[in-house]
Amino acid sequence: MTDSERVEAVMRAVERLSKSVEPSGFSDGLSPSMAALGLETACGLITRSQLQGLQAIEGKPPATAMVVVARGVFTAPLEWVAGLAALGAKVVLKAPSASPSFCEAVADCFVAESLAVEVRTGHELPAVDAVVAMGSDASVALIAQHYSDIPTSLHGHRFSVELVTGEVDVEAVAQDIALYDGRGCFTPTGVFVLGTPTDAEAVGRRLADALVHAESLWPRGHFDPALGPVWRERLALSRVKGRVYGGTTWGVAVGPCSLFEPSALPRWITVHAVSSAEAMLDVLTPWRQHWAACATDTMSSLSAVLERGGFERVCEVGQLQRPQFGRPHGGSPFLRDLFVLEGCE
Amino acid sequence: MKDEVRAFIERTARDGPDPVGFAALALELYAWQVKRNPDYAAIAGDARPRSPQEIPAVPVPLFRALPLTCFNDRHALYLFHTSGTTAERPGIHRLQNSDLYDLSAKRWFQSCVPDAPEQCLALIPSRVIAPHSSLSHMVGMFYPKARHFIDRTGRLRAQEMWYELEGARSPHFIASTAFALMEFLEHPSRRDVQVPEGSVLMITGGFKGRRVELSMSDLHARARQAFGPGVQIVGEYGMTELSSQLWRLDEAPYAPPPWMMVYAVAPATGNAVRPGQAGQLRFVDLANHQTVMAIETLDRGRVLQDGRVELLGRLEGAPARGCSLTREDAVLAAQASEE
Repeated sequence: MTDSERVEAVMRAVERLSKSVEPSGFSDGLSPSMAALGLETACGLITRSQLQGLQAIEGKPPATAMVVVARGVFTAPLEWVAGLAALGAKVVLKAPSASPSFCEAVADCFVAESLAVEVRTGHELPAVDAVVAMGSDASVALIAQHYSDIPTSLHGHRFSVELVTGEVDVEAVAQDIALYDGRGCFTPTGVFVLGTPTDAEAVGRRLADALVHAESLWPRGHFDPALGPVWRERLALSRVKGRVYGGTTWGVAVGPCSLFEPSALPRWITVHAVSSAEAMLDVLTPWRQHWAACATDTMSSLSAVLERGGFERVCEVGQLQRPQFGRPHGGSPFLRDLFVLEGCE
Repeated sequence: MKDEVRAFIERTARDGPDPVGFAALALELYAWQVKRNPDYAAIAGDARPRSPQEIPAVPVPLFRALPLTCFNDRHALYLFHTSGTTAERPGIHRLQNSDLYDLSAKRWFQSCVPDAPEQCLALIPSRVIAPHSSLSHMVGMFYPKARHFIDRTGRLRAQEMWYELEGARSPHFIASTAFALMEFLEHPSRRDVQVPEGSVLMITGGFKGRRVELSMSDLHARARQAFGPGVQIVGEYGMTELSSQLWRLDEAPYAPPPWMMVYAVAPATGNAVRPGQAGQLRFVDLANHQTVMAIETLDRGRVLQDGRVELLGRLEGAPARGCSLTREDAVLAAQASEE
């Protein structure tokens, strides 16, 4: 296949995947409507022009690449498979053994277009030319250790936040919170409101109504029992230190920044008042190496501050869970880390 | 309120359980606590419990963040700290005085280990070395003259203890954590001794987060081999956040005192499960009179129809959110590091 034939084959494979009849079957417990939205969103992000642009990356792409998939956002491996397949790599998808079905569906669609994608669920770690891995910091570190002599693109725990004004479109914030039931690193873990505690309170109240609406459109799916104790702990502490709306299948806790936690729970959000973007960055400084993205409703005035502050990705509210295909990952251009420069082998 | 709790402990320690009286006093104590403990009142919200199981339970991690006392916490004289990693703030159970704690601990110990020997050798630091350890407090209160074989640096003085055991001519109470006991039994100075008939070995805690995992049955077997047939093994289950303890003989289920109720809930929902079904353990402890009487632990267990408890270890850790691997994937990664 030529480069352009491969790009067309990938586009057809993604199109085929987007027409899957029962996406909830491979969403690892999302409700049917949320699974459908998640699949539609992920497939819709893959573009022909971005795939074509990958051909311009300098160096030699891997002939075989493994993508180690974590449980979480079920569509997370799609962009990697699409990009690698477009480059002509044979892709080994290392699927979570408890929920391999999305990886299997991806492989079926790509193989149907004569693209080499296979799924493995066992514990063996095959010899490949490059590795992409998503997971906890500890797991990713161990994978890095095992594959220390080949190119890797590794992605540990990260979290995202929103920095908004009192006039923010809370329906958009609610969609950021609800998408994928809070399983990915682009789930906001806190909403910081520029203003006074009263402003934060007003946003929290409106956000609670928006989450009720989101719940009616995309009900929360399977709730990991291991998160129940954490949910009750955060709920109890928030009741002491702030004000809580909801609390059963969704929750909004408005209160001091000490309530902020750098890890997401499904449809649980804390809302805090801050005087400036810099004040929010100060609050988040202890977890700086885990920052993923920040959404804001004042891109024009704040995006530069947030990018300078250390966020790799800054976007509009409502776009947090819709990252552009081909964006940089971990500070590097998409897939660049997996290439070997000529003369450097 | 304190007098009523004290009287209930004394009466039921003497006469046996009184579930109806327990329920009434528990609800009364709850109302008393939420009036004096604003944090507990906030956590409870508009709850109107009609039975002990409906009393809002405070998740134990909150003891790291809140004082949770029914008195001005600056007046706390006893600060029992949870153990754990140094990176984390410890949970603190603050007591204004220890009289109900001491009464509860003593009465149930006397009931469960009625013929406890008079002398004690402890593989637990003394109260002087570990003033914030509730376990050290309890053992020190039972045995003010106990001899402790863990020094200030945490070093186990195993050889001295083996020497003491070898020379013992009267029954001894041997107090140890499971981990310290294993270390003791594996120490190069180890020898097989025959402790005098009537000696009691108390084992508390498990191997959570330690470098080795050993079943309690294996530990019991090793202890019997080392100490001889004269030793009676008892288990103690206590928590920093509780004022009462559970005890068991050998490997029987743990028995709570009549002034404590244990029940299990489904971790996902917090709803009570049926007796005999495994779940996340919650305790209602009247002896927690000065703090919060109902707590939700991170332990798994099975509460039997008669109220006794089988411990099943810790709840599976809540995974870090974000791009987290499953436990199984972590094992895969660990294997990678070994290859």
